[in-house]
Amino acid sequence: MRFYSKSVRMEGRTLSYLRQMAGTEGKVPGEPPIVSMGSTAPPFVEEPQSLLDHIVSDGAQVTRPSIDPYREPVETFVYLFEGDVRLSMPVGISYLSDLSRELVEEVVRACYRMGVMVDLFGLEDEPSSVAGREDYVLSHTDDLKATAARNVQFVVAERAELDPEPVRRVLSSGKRPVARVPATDEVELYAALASAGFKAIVIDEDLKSDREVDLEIAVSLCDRTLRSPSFGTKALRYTVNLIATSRRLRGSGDVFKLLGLGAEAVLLKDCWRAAVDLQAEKDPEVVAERLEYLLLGIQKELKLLAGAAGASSLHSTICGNRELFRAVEINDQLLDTLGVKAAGSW
Amino acid sequence: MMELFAERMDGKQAIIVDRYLNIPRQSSPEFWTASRIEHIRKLAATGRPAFVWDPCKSGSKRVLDRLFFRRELEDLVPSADGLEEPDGIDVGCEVAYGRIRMSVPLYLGDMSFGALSGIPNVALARAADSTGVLCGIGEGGVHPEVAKCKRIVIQWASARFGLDLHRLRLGEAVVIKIGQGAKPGIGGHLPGAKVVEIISRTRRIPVGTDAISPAPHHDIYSIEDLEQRIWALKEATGKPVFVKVAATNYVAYVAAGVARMGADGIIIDGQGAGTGAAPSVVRDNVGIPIELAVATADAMLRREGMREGFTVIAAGRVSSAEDTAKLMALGADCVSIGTAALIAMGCVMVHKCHLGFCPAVITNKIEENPKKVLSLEFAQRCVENLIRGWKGELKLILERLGLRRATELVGRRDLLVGIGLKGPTKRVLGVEVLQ
Repeated sequence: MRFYSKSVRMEGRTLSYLRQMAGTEGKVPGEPPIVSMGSTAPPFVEEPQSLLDHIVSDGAQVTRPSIDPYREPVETFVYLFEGDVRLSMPVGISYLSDLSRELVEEVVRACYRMGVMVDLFGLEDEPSSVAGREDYVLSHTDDLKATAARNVQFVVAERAELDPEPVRRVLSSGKRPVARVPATDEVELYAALASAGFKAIVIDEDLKSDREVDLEIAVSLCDRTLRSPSFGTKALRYTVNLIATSRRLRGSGDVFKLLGLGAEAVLLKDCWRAAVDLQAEKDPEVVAERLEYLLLGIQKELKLLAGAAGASSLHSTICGNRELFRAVEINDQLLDTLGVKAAGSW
Repeated sequence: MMELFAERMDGKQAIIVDRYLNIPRQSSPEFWTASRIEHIRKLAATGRPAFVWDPCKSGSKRVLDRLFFRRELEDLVPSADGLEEPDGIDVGCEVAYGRIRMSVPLYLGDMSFGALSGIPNVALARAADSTGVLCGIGEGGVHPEVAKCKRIVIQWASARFGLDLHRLRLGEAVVIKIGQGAKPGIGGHLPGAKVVEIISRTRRIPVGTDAISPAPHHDIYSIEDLEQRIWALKEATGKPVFVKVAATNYVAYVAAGVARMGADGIIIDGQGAGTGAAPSVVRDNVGIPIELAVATADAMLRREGMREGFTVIAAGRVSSAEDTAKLMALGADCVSIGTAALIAMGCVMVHKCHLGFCPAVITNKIEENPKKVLSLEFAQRCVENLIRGWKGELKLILERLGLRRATELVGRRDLLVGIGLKGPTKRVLGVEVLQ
């Protein structure tokens, strides 16, 4: 059951914020946009669009110190595949499937330069720029022509009764096995994938399932399932990475909260496309430059949020730290499902 | 430093702004709706109450706006017609916190010289003096004209801009600023575009550079550190010491710690509070509403036996006397207003403070040859009237509630009832909820 629709709205305040950061608008690209006077953010002024709008991050106040993100180091690195891959920040770029070949090549290079992941899910041909940059590329077995260079193998799974043939093929490929699944409350699926030996689970809210839930719920359930001994998965959570994605995600605020719920990385889809203005801007180099600015801005914003919360490392202190977050205007049952406490509770 | 009030350097006259701009059409959702702005303007123009129960809360999503005094629900007579003369009502709004006496439990929120362009700072401080409330000066140092006022509160923030022992002693109290509601966990931010010569001299920073205060005080990394600073400031100044914090996830523990370490009170600044400049990602994703924070802090302080003699000041989206009364019923002793006071001086909520070209010349960049300057007399009179009108409305509310003094309202959650609030919210607020 879903609480909010998957509708995507990159408009108004959100759109302008993204475009300022990408340098598509304004004069200070790559910087967190500055605003003034009281917030109009949901759920108390604007209409909430997702469960993320009901979750608030913490600002450390004296009982423990905040970290000055402008002057003190805050680590945004995250490690995937048991330390084999280090991303500069817990972010990736996805939804390239309908872009021109030229554009895809530039986006792959831009992501590599910025040290973030790029997700080629849905692309038919593997871009040549992938060569030598494979560690940062998530690509899909069935969609792409097999190349020897590819380091990641993918399978899409929807049911806990895993289809044995593709699973065997992926697991025996000698590459890093990754599963892509819809946002579902079928926790047995997450447990089965982890037990089978997959090294990462990508929860993609845009895949369909008859047991769909909001991405926030799926991420929290998956994280807690893989930590729970009741599924016989023991400490598999520490060998399996959890990556979340959806077309509706709007930037670093959403990324930070999904990390808190349990993800190690978040793939951005529509928001980066809106930020660089793909509809109007066709020059791949301009798109790549804007994308880099956007990622730089997002990284700085993640540092602001982590520093404000008193955390010096995203990976070790924020990922799965649901205790740090609080929820507003959510009922008891949903609080339980998300594993987050109510704002104001002790 | 007197050039603030002088003519333009080139001898020409600037336009003196002594009237309000038209309220622009609000194209996106806004807490400070046109009806809230109009209400504040009415109080600022007349100094008299406009209504008993605040009609502006209708349709608002804020939790506080879905709380009602039971008395309001019983009030069948619309409050608009035949308002009583508040002067004739035998209800006391006066409050005292230690040695500090106030005519009404209102604190004009800490807005710095730099964020505001000087004249508004002076207007606020003078209005506090003439009406018997308090005015926090913010963290930008002390404006020379503000320094002449009595009822000011000196802020000791993480950057310590423009402070020395003499200036620390100028006010009625000292506030250690740990955080603010619009950017919990990060420091004050004055964009370089607004750091002109006079601001540079007051804050002792170079012209044109961003003034970004450290996120923590680098000598306060724990609650024990805070205790040392509280007592050092008390000894140095002989004044009461308050601690200002943002309403965040652990606010109940923070409040208990602040009280335990010997502070005279706490200012809790809620989500949605105003700011001169803040990163949008922090403003929009961090912090909890003041109504939840006050309720939870009050409950914790009572549980720990530390509520007596400790002052709780609630800030963030306080828009009317009814908000004041409800926050007091939830456990606050006093409220702080910032945006409402700016609106009284002409703010039309275009959210441009960080850019330095405020159309109402309140948060504009200070220029040598300004085209427009805010009339100090007008601004001061409007704030004075706002406070008088606010007091009038508060008296009417107290009278309807059958209370004789404002202090009797503190912690009276039983007078409130929520409509359509979720279970966890109801428990934190400690009020009955009608569905």
